[in-house]
Amino acid sequence: MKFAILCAMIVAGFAAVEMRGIDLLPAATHATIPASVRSSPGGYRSYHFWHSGFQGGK
Amino acid sequence: MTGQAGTCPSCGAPLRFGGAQSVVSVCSHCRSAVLRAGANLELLGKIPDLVATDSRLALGANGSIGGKSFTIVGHLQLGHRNERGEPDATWDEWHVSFSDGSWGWLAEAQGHLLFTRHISTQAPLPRFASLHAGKRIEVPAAGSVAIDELNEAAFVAADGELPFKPSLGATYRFADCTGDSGSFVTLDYGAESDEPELFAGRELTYAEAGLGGFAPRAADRHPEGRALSCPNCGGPLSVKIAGTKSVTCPGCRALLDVSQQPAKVLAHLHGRASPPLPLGAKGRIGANDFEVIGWMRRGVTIEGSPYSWDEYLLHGEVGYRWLSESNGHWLSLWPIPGGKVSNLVEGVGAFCDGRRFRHFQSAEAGYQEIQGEFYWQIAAGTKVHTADYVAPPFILSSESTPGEINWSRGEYMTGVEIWKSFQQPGSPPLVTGVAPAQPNRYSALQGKTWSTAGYALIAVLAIALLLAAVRTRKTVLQMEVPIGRPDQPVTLSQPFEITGGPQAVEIHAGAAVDQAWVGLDVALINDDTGESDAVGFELSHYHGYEDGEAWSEGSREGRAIIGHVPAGRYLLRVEPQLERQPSSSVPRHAAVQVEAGAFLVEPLLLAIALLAGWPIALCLMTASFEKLRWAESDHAGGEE
Repeated sequence: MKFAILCAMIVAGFAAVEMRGIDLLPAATHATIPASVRSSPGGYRSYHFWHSGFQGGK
Repeated sequence: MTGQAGTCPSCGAPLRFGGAQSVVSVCSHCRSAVLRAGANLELLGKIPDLVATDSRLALGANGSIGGKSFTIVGHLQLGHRNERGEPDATWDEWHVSFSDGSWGWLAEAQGHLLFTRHISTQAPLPRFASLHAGKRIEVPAAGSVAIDELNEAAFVAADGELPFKPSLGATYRFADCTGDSGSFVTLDYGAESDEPELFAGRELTYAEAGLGGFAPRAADRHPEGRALSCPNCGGPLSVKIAGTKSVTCPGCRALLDVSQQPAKVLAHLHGRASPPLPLGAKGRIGANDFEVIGWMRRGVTIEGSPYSWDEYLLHGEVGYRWLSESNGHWLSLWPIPGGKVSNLVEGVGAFCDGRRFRHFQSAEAGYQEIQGEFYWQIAAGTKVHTADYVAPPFILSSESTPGEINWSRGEYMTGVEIWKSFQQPGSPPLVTGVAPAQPNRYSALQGKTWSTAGYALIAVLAIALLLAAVRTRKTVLQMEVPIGRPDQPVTLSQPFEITGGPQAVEIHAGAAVDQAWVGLDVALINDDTGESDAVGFELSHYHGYEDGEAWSEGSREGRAIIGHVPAGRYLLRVEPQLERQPSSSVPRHAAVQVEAGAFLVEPLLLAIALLAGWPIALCLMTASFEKLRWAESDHAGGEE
């Protein structure tokens, strides 16, 4: 019975993960670009932001 | 001359031949055997007095078998010869005469009757010398039967009428056989020069033979014990069961034969151990109540190492049962006729009750301790050949001597069950190792576990197929990214829309490079929130010749997944890097494509792995359990 419950949870978990497109082994690096960067000269093209300017967090 | 009355030629007392097949009548007055030869009566000689036995039947008793009524007209006592050549271990055979003039034999065996009648056959019967205990033979009227006992019987005494001319001091060779469904066969080989005769019949209850009034009852027990005195020490003895033949003296530990009076000493025992389950303990096994009446510690030596186990003889309304205990593991065992065991290949396996039993171990077992009372005459100093076959939780066990084989069938029980049933204080003997017939608790779970996992796997695959079918994989961006342009180190795409709920997005990148390396830092940026997910691609292709062999490495295409991307307006930022050689060929652009609604393979693989994990672990634990079980067998190496 316990295993049946575990199986049901695995099936439900699989369905949820697959439906929401959640990557379990993410290779992408996530970041939030501040609005100031987006509005700054060069915007997304800014070399400074992508390579050294933004470290994330405090 | 049926029913003819005459007078005894020896003493003149009235003599009667009631049975149509009766040849000899024993004078009840002077014990002379008188042969009927036509109209004449011939004196054969004196017949010894009957030996006192526990037989319940009596001359003149009436019954019926198969709707035909019969009367017991004769009583024959036979016995095995002991080492001094004297008849010993006497048993009874009763001559029954049917109303239609036919006749047969009735014998009693541990609470049941064995009925046989003479079968006339032209078919050749097997030679006595070709037989051995345990062998299966085909006989007319009974089919395939197994030889349970191959022995010689000595004439001991008789009473009433007999269907043959007894020979005092004669030895009769016989083979007792049993079939699968209660059939019973005796091949009577008589003396050396006699032709074999076939007697076939079956096992009956007393009620089935119309002899219910003679059936053993609880009253056949001696509630206070049959009072005897030990012939060795003179101490008091108490025998509880009417059928007891061997008993140990609690005072001097002598093993006594109490089947005849006076009791005689069979052996002087030295063991002083106490049985973990005490004699006299009462408990229930299955639907029947039993009392422990005997205990013996048996021992074997295997590859120089001694092993021992305990056996308890139980007695109850349904007769005798056994309990066996080894390393804290218990078996409940009951005797079965050898005919129930088929396809026996010694050291390999056997079938019984439609189940295949695999050979576990064979050994020569002796007695280390004996206490209590037993229904056979124990030869304490002898060893018997034992063989165990298992089909957990069941066991099939044989004990054999050259002339006899006894089979028992058993089922595994735990010490806790025994202790609870017999209301014993404390704990049962400590459990160690894996027993031959111990059920594999892991294999018992396997069927249900695999089926549950199978259903779950089907559900997972169904969900995957459904999602693959209903989810539209859509290309939301295709762009070309200039490579090696110092004036355009970064390329930004036009904004594009990703619709629908959160989903996985797949980014493809490709460049037809040759002898060069192109790196692409790609970021998917939500233009509304600034959320960014960055992935890197390395596109390269190098090739050449080395030591006469062509080689190549790298890939001109790459693929990356970004998960859980919500709907919104997006930009793609691509920043290429280039590493080239003089001989390189680098295209002007790399192709980058973004597809929404990508199917993720990893969750599917993970779900399959999780679902199969426990069943596979169970398989491994099952195999490990079986390895431990068979490590103690004759097949530890895994050979059949």
